[in-house]
Amino acid sequence: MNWIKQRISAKIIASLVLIMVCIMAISVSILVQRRASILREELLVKARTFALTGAQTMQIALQNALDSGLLTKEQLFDTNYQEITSGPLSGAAIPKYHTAYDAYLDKTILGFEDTLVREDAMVVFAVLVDRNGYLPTHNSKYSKPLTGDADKDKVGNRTKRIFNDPTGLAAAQYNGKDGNTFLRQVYQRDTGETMWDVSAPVYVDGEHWGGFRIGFSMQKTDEAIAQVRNDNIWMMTLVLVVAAGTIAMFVSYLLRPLRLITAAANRMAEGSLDETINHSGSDEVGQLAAAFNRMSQVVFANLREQIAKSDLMVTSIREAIQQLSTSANSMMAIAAQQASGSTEQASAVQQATTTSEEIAVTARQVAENSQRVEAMALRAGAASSNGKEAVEDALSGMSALRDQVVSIAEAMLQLGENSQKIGGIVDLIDEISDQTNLLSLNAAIEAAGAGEAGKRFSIVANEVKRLAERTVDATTQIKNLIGQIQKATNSTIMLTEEGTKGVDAANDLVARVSTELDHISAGVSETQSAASEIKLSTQQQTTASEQMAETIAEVRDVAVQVAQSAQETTRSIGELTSLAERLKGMVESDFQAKGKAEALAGGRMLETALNELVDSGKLNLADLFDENYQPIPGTDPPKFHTRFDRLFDERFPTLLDGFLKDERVVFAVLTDRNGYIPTHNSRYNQPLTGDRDHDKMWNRSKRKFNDPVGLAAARNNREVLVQVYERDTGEKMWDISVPVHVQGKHWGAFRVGYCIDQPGGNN
Amino acid sequence: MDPAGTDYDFKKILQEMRDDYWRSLELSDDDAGAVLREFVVVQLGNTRFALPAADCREVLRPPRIVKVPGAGEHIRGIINLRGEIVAVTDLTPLLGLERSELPPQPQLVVVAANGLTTALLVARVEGLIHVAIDTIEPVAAGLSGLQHDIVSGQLQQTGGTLIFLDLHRTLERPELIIDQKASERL
Repeated sequence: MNWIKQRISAKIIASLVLIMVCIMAISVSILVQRRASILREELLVKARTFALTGAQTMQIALQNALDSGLLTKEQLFDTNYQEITSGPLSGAAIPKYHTAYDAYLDKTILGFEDTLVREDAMVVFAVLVDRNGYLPTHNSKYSKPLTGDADKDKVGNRTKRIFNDPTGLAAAQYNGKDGNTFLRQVYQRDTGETMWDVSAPVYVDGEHWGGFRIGFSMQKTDEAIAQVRNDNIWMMTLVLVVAAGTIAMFVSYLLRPLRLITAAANRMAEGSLDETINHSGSDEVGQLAAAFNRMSQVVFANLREQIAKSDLMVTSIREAIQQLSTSANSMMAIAAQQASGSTEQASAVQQATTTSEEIAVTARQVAENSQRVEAMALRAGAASSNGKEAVEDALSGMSALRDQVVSIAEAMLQLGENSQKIGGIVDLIDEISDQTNLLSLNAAIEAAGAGEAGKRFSIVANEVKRLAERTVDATTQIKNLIGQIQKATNSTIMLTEEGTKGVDAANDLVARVSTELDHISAGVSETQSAASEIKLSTQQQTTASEQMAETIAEVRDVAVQVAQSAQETTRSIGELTSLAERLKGMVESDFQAKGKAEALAGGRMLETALNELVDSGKLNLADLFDENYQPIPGTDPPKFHTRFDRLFDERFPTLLDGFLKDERVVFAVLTDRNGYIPTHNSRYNQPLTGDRDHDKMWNRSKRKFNDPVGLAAARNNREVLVQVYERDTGEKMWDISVPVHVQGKHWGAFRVGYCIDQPGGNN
Repeated sequence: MDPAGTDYDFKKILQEMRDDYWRSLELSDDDAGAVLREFVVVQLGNTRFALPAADCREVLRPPRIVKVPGAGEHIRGIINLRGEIVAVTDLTPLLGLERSELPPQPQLVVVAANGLTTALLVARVEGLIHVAIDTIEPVAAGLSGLQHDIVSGQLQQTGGTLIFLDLHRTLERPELIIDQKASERL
């Protein structure tokens, strides 16, 4: 169907043929219909005649038998069908019956029936049946002796059976009272042929006895109709073929310029823009060709400009994309740095937050502690001032005590002196009493001397003596007391001295305590002021650290924002990069399309050049397809000669080097189908130096490049093959190859290598 | 030695003494049954001696005693007693007692017997006592080396044995006489 869709001639022919076939089919069918109806009409007339004749004959035969008395009417209308159990007809699979009249009919009507069958090939059977379908006597060809094979006997021996199938029963019971004189029933035989069962009623004594059935095979008629149809179809087909051929040739001739235009347009589409068509004619197609030529010239001219412009644009776009990619990459790096930096910052800020919180807590604790210290210092100050008062009291008490002790000591000294004086007085008293004692004693002696007369006197003297003794006792006691007093005063004085010393020491101690208390007081006051300062400064610190915490939180927020924006930047850069990639892809595809077009054009040009070489006889076709590569001795990697490479060296270098004017073209070479490159670009055909690596790179002619890419390019037989690969230098290369055919035979390919990453790359 | 324990109510003491005095007076009037003699009790060394009060003149505090060279050991010196020279006699050698140091406040008892007046150096004069004659016991034989001839008796008292001296006999001792003569020679 594609073939039809793609060609106008085919479409015309197809539509013409279609229409003709329709017309012819209709006319043939009408023709055949007409013919068939005529034939059937004729056949029906014949069949009716046969049936009616047969029925009449049968009626006569039966009437004769009745009239002649061979058979009674009862016998003739006998429906008491006796199944045949003996004789040659016994044992059939389908039961057969005897009646009272069948034997008679076997003798009388078989000849007539067989005549009808025999004389007309269309008559399959002609039989008499009673009104129940009982068939007493069949045609001889259906009355063959029984074989015992049920299938064979069913066809070969059909006599004396009751055919009460719908067709049979309809034929048997048809009595002609519907106005027609016969009944035609059409049915398909099991052999596939169409049968006509034409039956006419048989009356005996005006009583309907049965019918005469004739079976017409329509095979002959159908064959006749088919013959007519086939003849017609053959005629029509012949007419069609001739007409179609004529039209096809003519249309093809007319459309040849169109194909040329199409091919040219295709080439243009593939990039070969400078196309013209050689067609002189003034008809519509000729006008079209001329218009196409004009158009192509205009388009070519415009397109060149456009291409130049777009080349420029593409180059700058590519550069821009490259810059964009580079910038995006560096931005990506920066964003990543920023992100990591902000992450670090965030963690640092977190740490700082924690630290500042700790500082705040510590500062609060310090403030509380300093407050406590201050309170304690205040209390200590109060206590020390209390202590100071107490000490001062103690001091004044001490000095009072000291004064008292001193006065006690003085009193004691006085007491000692006084008691000394008392002692003196007591001594005096002692002396006096001693004297008194002595006096009293002398008085007593005197009294004794006086005898009785001195008796009373002696009593007085005794009393005086006793008085003196008592006085001595008293003075002794006084002396004791004085001694005691003196001892007491002495010890008291000593004690008071000690007391004085103690008081002095205590005084010193208290004074020291006072001094210490002064120190303590000063210290406490300093502590208090220090604590107060600490409190103040820690309060300030707390405030400061809270402010710092707020600041840090702000910094953290900013860091988070920075991180987010870095992520967004990264995402944007990613989008930018993908955009750049897409742009690059677009540019590359554009570039690729151009490259393909150029390669195609170049391929065509070289193909033409090769064909001209062969056509002009300068190069034998067999020589051009020479595959007997002769190694050139002393070459590594190996180089080969063929029967055509020398001629190539003469003819093609300039042509091939021309492609390298486009600075993106790295190489443009012809390769045969085995990857053999007879003549490389001059750039890669520098003189051999003997340095293997240098020569491998810079002298590449006459080598076989049968690496996968090279071989795929060489063997490519499709329109254009683009292969992308990376050079060992990392640049992206496109290898575009166009097949080259010489005299319609695939010779090899034109390979162009584009370096797409480095426009203006030096190799 | 508690001063508080001693009563210094002089009025009371004087009242007691007055009562004693009146009682003594009544006793002396009533006592006529026993023959009493007065004796001056002195202390010589460690022994208490009773000197008959009739032979005693007075008791003195020793004035300045002038030593007499060449006198016996029993003559301690001489004193001026209201214009009269009186020898100071130490009885301890005569009595065969251990010669003891002079007491810190010796006293002199001026005695006169057999026309001889002398001052006996004693350690202390206790006082005058009244002793019934019949209560004096004879000196027991072998009494601690004392000269039996000058000792007239003894009396056991609670404060020790009181030895009664016979001053007549004592002052009749040759040593004393000779000494007197010698002194008269002077």
